Amino acid sequence: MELLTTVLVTGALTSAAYALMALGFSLVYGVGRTVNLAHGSYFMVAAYGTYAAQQAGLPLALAAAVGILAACVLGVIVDFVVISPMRDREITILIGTLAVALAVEAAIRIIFGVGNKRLAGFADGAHTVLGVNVVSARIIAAVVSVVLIAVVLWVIGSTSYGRTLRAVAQDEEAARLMGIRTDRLQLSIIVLGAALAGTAGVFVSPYQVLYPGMWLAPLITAFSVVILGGLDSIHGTLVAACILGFLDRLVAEALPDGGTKAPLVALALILVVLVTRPQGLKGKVLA
Amino acid sequence: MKRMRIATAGASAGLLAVLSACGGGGTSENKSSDDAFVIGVFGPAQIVQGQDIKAGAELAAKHLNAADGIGGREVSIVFCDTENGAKPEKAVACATKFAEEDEADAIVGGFSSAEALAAVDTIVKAETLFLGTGAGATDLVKGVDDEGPRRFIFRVGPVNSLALATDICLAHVGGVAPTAGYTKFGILSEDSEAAVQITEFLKTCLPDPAGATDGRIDAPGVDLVSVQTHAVDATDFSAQFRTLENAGAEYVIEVNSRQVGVALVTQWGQLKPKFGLGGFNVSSQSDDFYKVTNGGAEGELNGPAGVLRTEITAQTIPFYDAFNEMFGHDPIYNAASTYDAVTLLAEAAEVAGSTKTDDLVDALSEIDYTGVQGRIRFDDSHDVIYGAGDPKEGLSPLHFQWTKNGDRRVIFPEAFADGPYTPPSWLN
Amino acid sequence: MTTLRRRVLPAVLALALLLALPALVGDAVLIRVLTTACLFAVLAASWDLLSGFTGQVTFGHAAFVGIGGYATALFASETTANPALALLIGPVCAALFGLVIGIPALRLQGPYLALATLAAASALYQLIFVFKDKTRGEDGISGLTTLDETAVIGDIGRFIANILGGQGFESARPLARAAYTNYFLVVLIAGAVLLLMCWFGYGRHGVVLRSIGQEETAAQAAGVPIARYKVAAFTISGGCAGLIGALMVLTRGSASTDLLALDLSLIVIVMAAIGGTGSLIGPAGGAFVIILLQDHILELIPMVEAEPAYKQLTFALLLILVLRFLPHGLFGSLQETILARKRSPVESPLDSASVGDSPSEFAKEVQ
Repeated sequence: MELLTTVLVTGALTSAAYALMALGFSLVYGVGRTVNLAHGSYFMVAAYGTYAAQQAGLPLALAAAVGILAACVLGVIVDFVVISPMRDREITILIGTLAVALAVEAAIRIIFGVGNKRLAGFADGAHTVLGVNVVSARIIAAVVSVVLIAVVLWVIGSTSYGRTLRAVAQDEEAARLMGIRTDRLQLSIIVLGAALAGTAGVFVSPYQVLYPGMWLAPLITAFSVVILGGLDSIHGTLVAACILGFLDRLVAEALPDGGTKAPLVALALILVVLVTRPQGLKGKVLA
Repeated sequence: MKRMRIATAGASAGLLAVLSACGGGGTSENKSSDDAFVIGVFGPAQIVQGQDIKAGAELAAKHLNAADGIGGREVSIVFCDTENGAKPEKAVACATKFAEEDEADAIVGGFSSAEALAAVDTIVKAETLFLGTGAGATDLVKGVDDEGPRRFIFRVGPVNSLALATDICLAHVGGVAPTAGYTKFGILSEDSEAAVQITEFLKTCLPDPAGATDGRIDAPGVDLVSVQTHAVDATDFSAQFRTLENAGAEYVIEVNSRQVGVALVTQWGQLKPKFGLGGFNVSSQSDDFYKVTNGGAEGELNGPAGVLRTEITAQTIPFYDAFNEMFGHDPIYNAASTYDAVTLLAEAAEVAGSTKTDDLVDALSEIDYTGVQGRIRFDDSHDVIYGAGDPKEGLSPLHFQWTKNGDRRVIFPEAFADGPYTPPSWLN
Repeated sequence: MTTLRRRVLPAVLALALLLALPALVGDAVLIRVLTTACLFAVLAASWDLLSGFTGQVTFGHAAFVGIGGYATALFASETTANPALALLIGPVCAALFGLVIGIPALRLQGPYLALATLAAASALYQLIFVFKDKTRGEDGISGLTTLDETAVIGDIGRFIANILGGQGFESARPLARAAYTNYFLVVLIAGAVLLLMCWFGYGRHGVVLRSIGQEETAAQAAGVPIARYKVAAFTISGGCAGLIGALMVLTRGSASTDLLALDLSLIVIVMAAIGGTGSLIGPAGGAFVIILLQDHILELIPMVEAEPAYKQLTFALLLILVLRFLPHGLFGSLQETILARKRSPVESPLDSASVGDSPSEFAKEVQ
């Protein structure tokens, strides 16, 4: 019974973090048909940006805003330099965004050095939820994630902007013919994706550590979640985030040596799904 | 048309030739004077461990050059970057460069066992002196003796992984159990080759510390209640903490390297599980670790560590101060062992009365030197002798605890202890 | 066949230059750098044969290198047979893996395949640690006999080095002599493999492979056995990469987890993209550019020596520039500007293709 509540609570927190990370990635693909390998770089830039702002003396909330803004600026740069000029060339964008991620990592190393850095969070210490002891910063990250995801879902479902997004996602050509400024829209989705990933970076980093290679793990997480759920399905992404989040914690808590087994289990699951259902859980079957 | 095609091909090939020839001229810049004693230093400059190897060498060179250098020759340090220590190919390339281009008189350094093991084969082929200052793998000195082809290999520090494991046992069981009255221990180690070796030894130490340490530990009845592992890049340790806590562990021995140790201790400080924590955590040796873990490090017993402002020998504090002045941070263990390696060469040259490699090898085999790490002597395999808690016998690394105000107290060896081990303030 | 000759000529000339170089330059360190460059050239070309030609972009090419490398290391350390035999064993093991991966890969497209291959390489990396007893985990297997020391092959290498090595070889110490010997062996073996890949890639089969990459539905409609070719591409590409893995281990004398690291997979993609995908020679050239810059030229700049991260920054920015402004890669564009050729409307686009087909063509995957 204790195991059940433990997995429920920690799994929920982990899933929320995964979902926030993956949502931006999924939106950018769904609307822009772009696989952005620099997605993890937004996470990192926001974290380092917040750190730098804190070092400069800014209070945390303001520093976090600076960090997320920095991630958005990077998003604009990525769109301008790589994504927009090479639209339609999926492989080129894949490699191009990878190049951006590598460039950003090198730049971070040059600016901040290789030492580990600490990002102070909005809360410290731990809190007990349903009898389970969890790091407070994780709770805050999960709350922020759920709120943001709800807002994004509402925007997509109930606003005119959201309607336009869905139109472009369905058929960009048709949308353009109907007078929708698709280039502006694509830029906005890039910035939104960057902001979401950046927010994840700001709120997840307090219980982890900042180092120049930290862009890779969030990218792999986002990529895995979205692939599992289906590249062009937001609901698939959210479902997959929950599956991977709960699975990770179930293995870690229930199995001996679960800590080292959890990533392998996730890997195995993804490979199995890819082989049996290549379009992901809720993706559309590609012709 | 055909001629144009051939021209293209020729141009492409020519481009290659130009590129290749470009680099040919950079060979002779490395020696500052013709008679300089060239020391090739290699390490992963992408991480602090490699940067400190370089720093330790540079500081030693500076000090030596203010005096007689090595055997009267000016010391010249040539650094070669192996990036993150996970690319043995780079270490081999560095070794080749030192031997062929820089004509190094000695080679020093190496952080990861993988890169050091890969490099020594090349160094041995070049019949150049090698002083290891980072890798603890016992295989580094495999096949080494005073006469054979591998006689050029020495390890100046840290102590090898077997000694490391013994030292952890001595400090974290022997130094903790009696004072704090703990009888139930746990292990939390990362899933890497080196950590697993240490864990295996600890599994013999924990039920029977006296047996495992030839009677050096007098702690009765300690139980090993749980062994947990985590990935090298793990970010969530709550599950392992929970399992260790439920098993009743009163003190958990951690074994990890690189930045995973930061998240681990940060979360230990945040979740405050009911056990003390300590062990081999390389990240904890950085002087900003307390800040980086947001105070989570309070109460963590770390070691084997490098040097602190503790008078292990008469050389230690001057080294510590000079290092801080030159580089702005405390030296980690690589810096100390590299510094010792370079100054050791000067000592060997003086004893041998020559700087020829074979003479240096003979001198080093017999040497008895007081370095900044402690007393340095080599066993028959040219491995630095471990002091097992007695700094007069050999190297016996420090173990320290972080205090509530971010200071560090030495707990072990007893000869340097500021006081006994005390659990963190939040653990009652 | 003229296309083949046109493509292969730069490679043959480069090969000749590489063989002649030691006698002219006589610098053992540079020789080692060039050895590495040759290995990566063929590795990048093998990636291109799979990803550039058939459009099956993989992010896990290191898997083949690792299999070839560890098979070699285990063979060399566990048996007393001539380690040079690993030059057959490594590729075969890797090719088999390519076959095994190629079949399920048929069901995956674009980013799904990219992630799956990345996951496969990652899984192999983990397996190294699972079988720590044999593979020595992250310490790796070291102390192996190097290629120049093996019977037969080593002797051949020394024989050639004696003839072509020039002054540098004659007066060299043991370490340098080993470097020269290995260099010539690598140039010849890797060169042969590259020429073989070119013969395959620019022959009849190559046309089919490219048709799969560019217009798969059309190819299918034309009756091409797509599946067979795709799997074959995986197998051959894997086998070549496995050979490189074997050569890497045999020239270094050790095997370690860096052979399976994501870094390796990524740098191969960077090299191929800079050189110009879809041309085999382009990626090979790209590899030379990157290795020479990274291990030789950039290090001469003091700023870079002080902060090595500038190297990665340089490559990343260079890659972005190439992708943006030189769609045919560095070597494709070089050829284009020198020849200033216009395409005849009658020529089939596949046949008259420039050194690197523009990514826009092969990226138009069927959605």
